Amino acid sequence: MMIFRRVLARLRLRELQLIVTALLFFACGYILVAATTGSRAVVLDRVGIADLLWPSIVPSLLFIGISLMLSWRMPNADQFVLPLVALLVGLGLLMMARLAPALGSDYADVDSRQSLWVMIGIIALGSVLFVPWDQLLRRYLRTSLMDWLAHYRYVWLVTGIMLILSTFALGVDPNGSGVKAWFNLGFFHFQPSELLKIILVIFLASYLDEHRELVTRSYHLGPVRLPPLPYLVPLTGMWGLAMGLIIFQRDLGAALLLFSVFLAMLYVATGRGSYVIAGLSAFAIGSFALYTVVAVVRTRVMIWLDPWIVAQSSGYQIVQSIYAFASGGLFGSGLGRGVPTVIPAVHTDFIFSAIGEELGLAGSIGVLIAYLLLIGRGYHIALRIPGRFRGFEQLMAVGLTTILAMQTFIIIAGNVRLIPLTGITLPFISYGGSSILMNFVIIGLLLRISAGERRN
Amino acid sequence: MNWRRITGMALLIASMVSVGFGMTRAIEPAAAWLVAIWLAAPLLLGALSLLFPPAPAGVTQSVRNLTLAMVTGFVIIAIQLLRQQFVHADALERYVYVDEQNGQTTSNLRPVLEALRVQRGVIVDRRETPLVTSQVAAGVVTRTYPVGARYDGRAFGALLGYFTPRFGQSGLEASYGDYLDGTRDRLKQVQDTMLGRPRRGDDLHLTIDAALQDAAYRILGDRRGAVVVIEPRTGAIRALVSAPGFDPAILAYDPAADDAIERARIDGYWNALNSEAAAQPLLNRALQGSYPPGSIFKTITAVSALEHADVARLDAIECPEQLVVEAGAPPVVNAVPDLASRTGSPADLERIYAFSCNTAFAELALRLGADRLGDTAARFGIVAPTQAGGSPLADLPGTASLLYGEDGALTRAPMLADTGFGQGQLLVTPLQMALMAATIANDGVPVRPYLVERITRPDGTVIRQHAPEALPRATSSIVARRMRDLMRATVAYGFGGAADAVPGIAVGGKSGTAEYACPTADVPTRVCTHAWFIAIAPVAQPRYAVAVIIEDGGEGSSAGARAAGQVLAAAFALPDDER
Repeated sequence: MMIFRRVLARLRLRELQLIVTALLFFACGYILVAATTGSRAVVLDRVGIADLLWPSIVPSLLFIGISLMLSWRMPNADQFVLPLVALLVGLGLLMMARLAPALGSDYADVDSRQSLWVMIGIIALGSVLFVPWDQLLRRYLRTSLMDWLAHYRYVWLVTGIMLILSTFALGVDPNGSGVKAWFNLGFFHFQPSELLKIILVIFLASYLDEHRELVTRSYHLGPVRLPPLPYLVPLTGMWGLAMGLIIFQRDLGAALLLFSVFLAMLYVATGRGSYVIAGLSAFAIGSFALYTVVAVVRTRVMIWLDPWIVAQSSGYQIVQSIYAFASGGLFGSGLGRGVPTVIPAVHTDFIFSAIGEELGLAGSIGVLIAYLLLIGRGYHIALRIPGRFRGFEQLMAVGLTTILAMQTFIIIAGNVRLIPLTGITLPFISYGGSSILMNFVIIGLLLRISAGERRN
Repeated sequence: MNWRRITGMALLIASMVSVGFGMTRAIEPAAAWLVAIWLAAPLLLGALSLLFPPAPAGVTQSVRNLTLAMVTGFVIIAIQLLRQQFVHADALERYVYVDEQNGQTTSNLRPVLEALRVQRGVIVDRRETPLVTSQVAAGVVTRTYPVGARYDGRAFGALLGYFTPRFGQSGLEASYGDYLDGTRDRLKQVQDTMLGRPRRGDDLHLTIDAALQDAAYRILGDRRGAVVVIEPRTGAIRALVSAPGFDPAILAYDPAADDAIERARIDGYWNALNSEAAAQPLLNRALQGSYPPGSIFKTITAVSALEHADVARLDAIECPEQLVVEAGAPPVVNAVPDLASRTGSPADLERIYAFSCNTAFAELALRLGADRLGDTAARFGIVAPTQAGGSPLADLPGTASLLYGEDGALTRAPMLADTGFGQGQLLVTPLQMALMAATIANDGVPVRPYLVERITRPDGTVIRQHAPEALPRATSSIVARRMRDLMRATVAYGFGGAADAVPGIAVGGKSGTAEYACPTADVPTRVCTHAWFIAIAPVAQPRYAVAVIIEDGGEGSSAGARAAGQVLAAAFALPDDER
């Protein structure tokens, strides 16, 4: 009874209100989709309604459950992150429900599968947040969760690299993307590069936090001022190894993502713009080298500059995407009234084009704003941590947020033909189990970091 | 500090200028635009960084700058979206790329898919016989052709046109496309969309009599040519045939069938239609075919002579064996020797018209002069190239009929003389010739020809009803009546007897044997003839005006007259409520 009253007093009302708003928006959309696509014979008995609504209702209830749990266990955690995630996830489920009937029999169940992944993701989020990790780790390893993550950074990194390495031998290519970047785990396909991005953030945050002073300081070799090479070389080396592997695997989107995250974290840790300039120069040189050596890179750039000459072959996707955005216009064709499925891989790489076509400029800008708000909250969380005491967590918050930001930017900019297209997922919206799962883990870590922000 | 604001604003303006400039560049290829927007990105980042309040040095400042970089990235995406979805949305939506190497085109699929979802309107003939309907198969609407069950579908191809996702549309399908797919009525379209009603197009009710159209096509058989049948008083076109034809049903895509097989079938037929051997079946010869008229143009010369009897000196007409117009120029000769024995000497207008005396009409043209003859011709729609305004029929694309090709051609006497009996540089369409006959039949008043009687909504509401539109009078009622006598004489005892094929109905007409150069490798100066015939019936109060042309068909007085007679026989054999 006492606990109940205390929870009620600490109820995170703002978060709850926002989640319910997002879910209402999403429920309306779901009904609309069921009506317009007309794919389901709506049987209005108990089973029929449940069958129609379970992919939307169950994740909704889980979000509310997480919010209530947060009220009980972590009342200080950021109140805006979860509603924004609910909004984006809801939109993703909505798009899957809309696309599933039109995608053909191979993908007829993407909506229910995506629902399942969202549920698994929310459970993962819940376990990051609510399993008493600190107590467990203290009891058995005499350390807290964050310290444990920071301390074993080389273990994580080696694990990640081993996973990537093993895709060369064991990897499969379930959706014909040309990249063997998945493990077939029987019941689902797991993409280790999704895990690697979190591992790299942990590694970089831990390393940079430990060597922050040294990395920032210049290194004098006689009269010449040099960057602190002894500290930068192992860092760049480890990171370069991971990235080299991914480039070797032709997963260019992930490589671009990891590079930008590295640069962002290095800049935040050191505050030195010269690293950014050096990094961008290295990027330019590296891109040019890749352009001349790797055929895939060359093709992608050519398609970007003129997709029309290859409109019937390799440029087909981007040409169809251009038409999709243009047909959408200001307000879109309306959910279920466009034909986004003419774009191959619309439910993974080109989900944003489907949004642009059916929800128009209003919808696409709206989604951009939702992402921007989420990213803003992420950096806000990082800034509210006293960096002197919790530098690792601060850098990790920056890194995790940058992952979300850059991943969103890279895929959307590729969809709208602002940069060459690289196939990665749009966080929370694209179809894909590993991506959904890992993004929820990122959110879990961010919320956990934010919950502790006033403790010290 | 103030300099931060000033520099920041300057950078902001610079980035906006760059974006604005890029927006004005060519839509595709977008290289210039990509340069412009990526130039704007660092400028925008600089501007934001200067305009936002600075943060304390250290992590706070780094995170602030990182956030601004991310904001810049998203703003750039938003600008790109603004371009793709608003500023250039319409142009991009309609953008068609044609590969110069293989001619392959890339265009937006959505309009085609949209068209396939609309229950396209029905086209029926004047007796409400459905010619084209739409059928829903596998959730997609497909064009079906019930006309093919009773008649030869090829007779209707050029008129109705084809409707294909691949090759677009032609004929009435194209010119009335906005009615047929229901996009004409924007308000109703929006209503249907909002209420989730299936969209249905409007129905066309044609003036065409399907039985007559089919009969006329059969009469032409495998000969190339055209037939036009007009009702003189209203301008209603009862038949508009172009041969060889094509069957639009074969070009219709059936979504229920296997896609690859359908495509192969349609492509095969399309390529066959466009092959050299097919003799241009996609061309509507009745409207777009330009031919020398030959002797049927003597009708115009005769009208002009009747209008200017004093200048033409109708009391002094002879039909000599040959007429030397100018020393050195080839003399005008008659097609048949010793024609004077038939026309008599002195001859009269009726007999030189009935026996088609070239020399006499050349002489008449010279007496009348280019201005008078040209003036009469223009009133009958045969105009100088500078005045050419197109075909008198608004429903389908067609070409104008021309009095001459080169400027000042008629100032040369030999050319004027040749024009007088229908050669020279004249180029006319079968429709215009039918309209000429109809004008004489209608007491000298041409009535604008038309094909679509009315357009109705699916519920039967009439949204457009044709009202006959009289064009400016071409000649007096007296001249027109006199011309009907001449045409009757031609069929009764002149070179048009083969057209007298309707028992109990007096037919009037005029034959034409139009010469054109058809060089072969062996005979470079070879001359062939198109067989023409115009006819009206019954002469006293004509109900039909007919023009027939058979390309390379020999004599107008035999092949042409016979065909015209058969067409008239078919027309009068129809179960006609007006009879």
